[in-house]
Amino acid sequence: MGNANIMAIPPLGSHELGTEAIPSDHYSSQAFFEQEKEHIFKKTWLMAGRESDVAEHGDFITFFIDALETSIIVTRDKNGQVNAFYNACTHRGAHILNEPCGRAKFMTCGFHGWVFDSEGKLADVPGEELFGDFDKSKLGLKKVSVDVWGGFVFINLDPEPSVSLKEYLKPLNESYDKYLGNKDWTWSYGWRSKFNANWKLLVDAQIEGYHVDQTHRNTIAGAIPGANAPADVYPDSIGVPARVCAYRPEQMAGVQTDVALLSAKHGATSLYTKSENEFSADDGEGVLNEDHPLWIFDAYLLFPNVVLFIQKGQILVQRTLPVSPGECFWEVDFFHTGEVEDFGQLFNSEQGRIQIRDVLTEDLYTAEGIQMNFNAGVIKEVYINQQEIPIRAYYHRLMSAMKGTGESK
Amino acid sequence: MSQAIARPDVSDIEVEINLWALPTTEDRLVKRMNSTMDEINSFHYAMLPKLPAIIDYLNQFKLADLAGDDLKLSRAALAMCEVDNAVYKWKTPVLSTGIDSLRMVKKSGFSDRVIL
Ligand code: FES
Ligand SMILES: [Fe+2]
Repeated sequence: MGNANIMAIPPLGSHELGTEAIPSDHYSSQAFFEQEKEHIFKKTWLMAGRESDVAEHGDFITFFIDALETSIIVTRDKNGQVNAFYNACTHRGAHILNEPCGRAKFMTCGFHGWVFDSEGKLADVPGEELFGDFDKSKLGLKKVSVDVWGGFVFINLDPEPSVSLKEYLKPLNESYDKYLGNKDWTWSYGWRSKFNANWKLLVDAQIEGYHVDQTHRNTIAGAIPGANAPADVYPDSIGVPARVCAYRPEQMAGVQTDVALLSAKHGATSLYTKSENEFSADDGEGVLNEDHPLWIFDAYLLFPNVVLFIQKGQILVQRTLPVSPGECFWEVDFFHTGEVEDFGQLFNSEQGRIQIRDVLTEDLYTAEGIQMNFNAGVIKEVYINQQEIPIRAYYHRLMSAMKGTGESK
Repeated sequence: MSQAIARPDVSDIEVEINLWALPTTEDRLVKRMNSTMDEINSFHYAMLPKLPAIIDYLNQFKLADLAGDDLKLSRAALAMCEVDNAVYKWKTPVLSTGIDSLRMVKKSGFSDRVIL
């Protein structure tokens, strides 16, 4: 390896993260879950969508936090501002929008027809005189805190978040904001699923390299050896507790199939095949570790529920959201630059998509069994090694957030 | 439409192409999952020698212009991506160490909540 120390991982017990076993009840306890709703889902910045999905005046997206029975509307208003509101009609409480996205400069409640503009103001009330003395200006949609970073829309149910989104996401600096915010990124594909597992378990599965050799023995083991997946922790960060990186081996082990090699001639959409193409959407100094010839991606844990994979030519967002302690939604979304225009690109995209899908089926395979063992009380604690340090950092951040002290460190 | 690269002769593997030239990735996934390893291998090894020429041939057109037999050929070529792991890594039609792929439901956009 040209640069040996790049594979270094923090020693056990570093950053006051300790070395002790971690209890498992925060994955299964109903009481803990109730506290998570209060201290995490009502207090932290949550990725709710992509800014390009609300590019024009009137564009909207909706975002659900099922555990809180909360639906949010994100809009672009006529001044170009991004706004977020509770999806709750101020007349008698109906959801106003039910589609995941769309365009409506005026949003009309389907129950009695109250109309709100994209700034949330109540614009029209059918039969207004029926209400008698009535002040429409007081009946706008209830606002939710919102901000944009890296082209992603984040919302915060805290009316006055204790830290700005930018501060929250340190150490991801301006360059990340630029690289990820590049207008050329467009959504390419994604999947959504529901699991009988705690929402954090599916995050855990993506933030350590220790599992790779075994979990992925039937797919990519050899393309990313576990030993080439070092990790970093950011104990001073509020929203980014850790990251895991991935490097190719000097010598690819395992099978490089003809299909993979043919695909690589036409693009970079497979994580696991070195592309012969150049990527031209570079923006943001230092985000891509291109100095290192074997670097593939860095995956950042964005507390509480996102793992963001950043690489050349592709960004990948994995999100989970709880329903109950033992039930969650999981989704993954891919962004690429440039249109797929010819068959070579399509072939490349198909190969990348299928390889990643098959790898993800492996990543998702263990969570439900683990959840059962936690629920049954068979496993009461888990053991975290040096290479799994992001799990420990995640746990510590979780606990600080639960004390309500996390936001101000 | 100028056609610098000639269409490879695939008349001898027409049967395999017809079986696997399904419109979507999901269709081809289901086809792979419901096939025997013999059927998968038979398709794969019929297509493999011609695949580089097929890709080069199809690649000279805009995707939107692919139609008829060329569209069919393109779908069969994409099915090669679907069977690749089964042929070389698993030696079985369905991976036994992963969740059922059909549990991952395709989204139509970032904000899509296809499963509720
Ligand atoms: S509840 Fe919306 S108009 Fe009545
Ligand atoms: Fe994995």
